[in-house]
Amino acid sequence: MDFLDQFQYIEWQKLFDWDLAIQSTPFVLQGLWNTVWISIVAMIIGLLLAFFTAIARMSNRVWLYFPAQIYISIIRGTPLLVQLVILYFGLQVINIKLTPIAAALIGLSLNVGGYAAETIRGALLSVPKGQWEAAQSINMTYGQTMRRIIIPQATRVALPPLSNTFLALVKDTSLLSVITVPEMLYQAKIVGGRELDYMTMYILVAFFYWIICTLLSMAQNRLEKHFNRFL
Amino acid sequence: MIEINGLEKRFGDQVVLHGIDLQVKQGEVLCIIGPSGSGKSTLLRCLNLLELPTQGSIDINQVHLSFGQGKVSESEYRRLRGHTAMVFQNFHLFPHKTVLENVIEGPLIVRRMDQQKAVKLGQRLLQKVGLAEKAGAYPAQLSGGQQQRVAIARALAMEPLVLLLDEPTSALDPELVEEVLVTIKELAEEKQTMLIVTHEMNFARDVADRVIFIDQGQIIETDHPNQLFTQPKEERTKVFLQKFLYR
Repeated sequence: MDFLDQFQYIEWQKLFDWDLAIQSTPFVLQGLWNTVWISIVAMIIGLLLAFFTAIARMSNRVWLYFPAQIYISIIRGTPLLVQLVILYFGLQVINIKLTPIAAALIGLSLNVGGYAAETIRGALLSVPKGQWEAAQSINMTYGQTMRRIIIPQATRVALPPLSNTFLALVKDTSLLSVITVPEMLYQAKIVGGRELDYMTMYILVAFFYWIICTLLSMAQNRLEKHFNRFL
Repeated sequence: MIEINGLEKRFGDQVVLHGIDLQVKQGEVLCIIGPSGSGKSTLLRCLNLLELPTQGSIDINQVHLSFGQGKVSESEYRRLRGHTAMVFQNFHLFPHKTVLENVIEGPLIVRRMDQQKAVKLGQRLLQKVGLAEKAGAYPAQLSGGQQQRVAIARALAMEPLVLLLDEPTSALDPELVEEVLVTIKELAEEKQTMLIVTHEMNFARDVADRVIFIDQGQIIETDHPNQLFTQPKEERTKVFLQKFLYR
């Protein structure tokens, strides 16, 4: 049998049903807004957490760097899905009732914070010591030096890995369907269950995630150009 | 104007400066020479408080700091630092800021000058170091000599009583050394008080009112350049200078 011939016997329509995909797109996109705003808010809170964790981690005071290290280790050492389930369902058991959105924001922010902390720490350390001294010699304070001299230079270094973190975060919001946040995958699974065709819906959301991430990558390129302008 | 008494700096067990005593008058240009590792850079860095001395005291224009007896407050050493400004061997310009932004960063952020005044000051200083036309360039676009002249302008923008220059030409290609030395000479003619650590003996002879020879963390000899370079009194100074004669 010719290799190509076998494809004639595959029933492609069982994998992807165009009509269903087109019909259900508006319903799936109702989840898009949740996907997008949760990603953005979690990223912003996460970056703030990460920044202070990185500073604490670089301190030589035990009561600062030790908690930071424990935090990073727990976040990086346990699955996000498990973290989310514990936050939402687990805390209910001991009568701490979070809304799905609140649990989602807390879980994702903590997750970004743990991962980005190491990225930010590395980026801050990559700025040469001479920059600190130059700023010090014109009498800038620690805060002024951080804000005006160190962070702008560290941002350039941190941008590519932080973009990775953000893309991963956008896709990780799909895990929120497990704790009943109505984001894109959650919407898609509703249709999938109703029509008994999960595969069409999975492929459809895969396409939407891909579009979002492509747009984000383009934004990343422009940002990188901006931060590399002085080279 | 500057008075240093019994200044000592240790790193752990190692004593880098052994009780340095030194007075500098307003408008004086001092060149500090000595073998590498002798503590000359450390002395300069102590005056800018990039290193904290472990003993002794520094007086600059009525700001008095004593070290080795309790903690010195942040505001105290910021006040002292405000009277000094440093030019580094490797320039340490801020790469993400333009030449003009480098120069006015201090006036704008530390001295809280208003934007317009700061820009004017910056342009005047860039003119002075001969780089007015480079105001909008980034440091990476300049030669080493030009970068060092910007660094000098940045230090001058703080209007320091004393300018500290730590081997300002050591990192430069030979053909770029001259332009930086000329700039420093012009400052000397304007009676800008300066402490210069240098290996350029001819330059030191030209520009210095006094030359200090430091070895192993101690001032061995201090004298007028004509005297010190031609008839040094101390044996160690002779040995050191001989190495430069036969180059």
